[in-house]
Amino acid sequence: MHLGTLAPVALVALTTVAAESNAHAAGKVELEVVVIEASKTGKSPAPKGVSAKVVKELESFGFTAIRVSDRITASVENEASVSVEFRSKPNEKKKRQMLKVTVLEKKKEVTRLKIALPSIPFSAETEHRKGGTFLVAVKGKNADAVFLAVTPKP
Amino acid sequence: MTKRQDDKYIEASVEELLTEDAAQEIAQREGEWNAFTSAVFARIDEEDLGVARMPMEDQAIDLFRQEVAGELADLAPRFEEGFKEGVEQRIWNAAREPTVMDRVRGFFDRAFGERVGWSVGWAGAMAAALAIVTITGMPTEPGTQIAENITGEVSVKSLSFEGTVTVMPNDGVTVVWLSDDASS
Repeated sequence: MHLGTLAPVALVALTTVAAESNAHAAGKVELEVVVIEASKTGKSPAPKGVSAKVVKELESFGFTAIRVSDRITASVENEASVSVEFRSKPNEKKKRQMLKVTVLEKKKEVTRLKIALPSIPFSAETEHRKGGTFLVAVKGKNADAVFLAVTPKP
Repeated sequence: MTKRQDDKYIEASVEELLTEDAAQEIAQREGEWNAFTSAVFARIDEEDLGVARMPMEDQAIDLFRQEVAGELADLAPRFEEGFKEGVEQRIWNAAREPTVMDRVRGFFDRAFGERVGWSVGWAGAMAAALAIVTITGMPTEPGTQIAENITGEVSVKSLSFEGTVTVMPNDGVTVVWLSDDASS
């Protein structure tokens, strides 16, 4: 399967529970959520909108065709969350899933997040330092997968 | 008047007495003075005699020492002049030594031969320098480099999933694999 044949459907619905006009206000966390569709068949040019370390990680798993289907950047307050809707499988047209990222705590260098996929259900609490990325991989068929990269900006 | 004559007699006697005493005193002092002078000259003569009577070996050593001191005093200006000339000669020789450019030129002359000429060698050197800069790349801005090197860390404090999950922590990226059956 080639990623170029994937229908460019809208995958993401962004909802910020608590949003304010000033994105750089103190106590807020700049969250970046990237939805990546990857395949071990075919080949694609270097994807844009995703960090090199994530691409390197995917390539280490044998994925040669990597495409960024959506990229969200949001400023989220403490105990607020951002939800991203994505296609559960690269060739799935009907079934959608929701990724919910909640900011539990923001310290000077440490950001605590709760990352959940309510429909599975999956939930994890993570601690990020200096812009570390949490990558959730949802396996598909035919050696395809959807990756959800969550990175709080330092 | 008689009294006056008596006074003259007395005065004459005193004068005579004083004259005689003065003459005696002067004569005595002159004698002493002559004796002192003669004593001083006699002492000097004794020292000369003492020097003249030094052993022949000591006299030879003293003369040799005086000659050496005289020769050194005569040669001192020559030493200073020679040292100065030596330093100036070394400075002149150092100035005449080939410079770095002369050495580079000599290297290309030897490498490409005299026929090629200096212009070709210089062009080759410039081409080599440009190639090195191109291969190694120009230095990047420090801020960009630091930003690229930030990898960060992620630690998973708790995890909840009903299916099979595989956590793969790596440098800056932590990957959580969810099994296909559970996620479908």
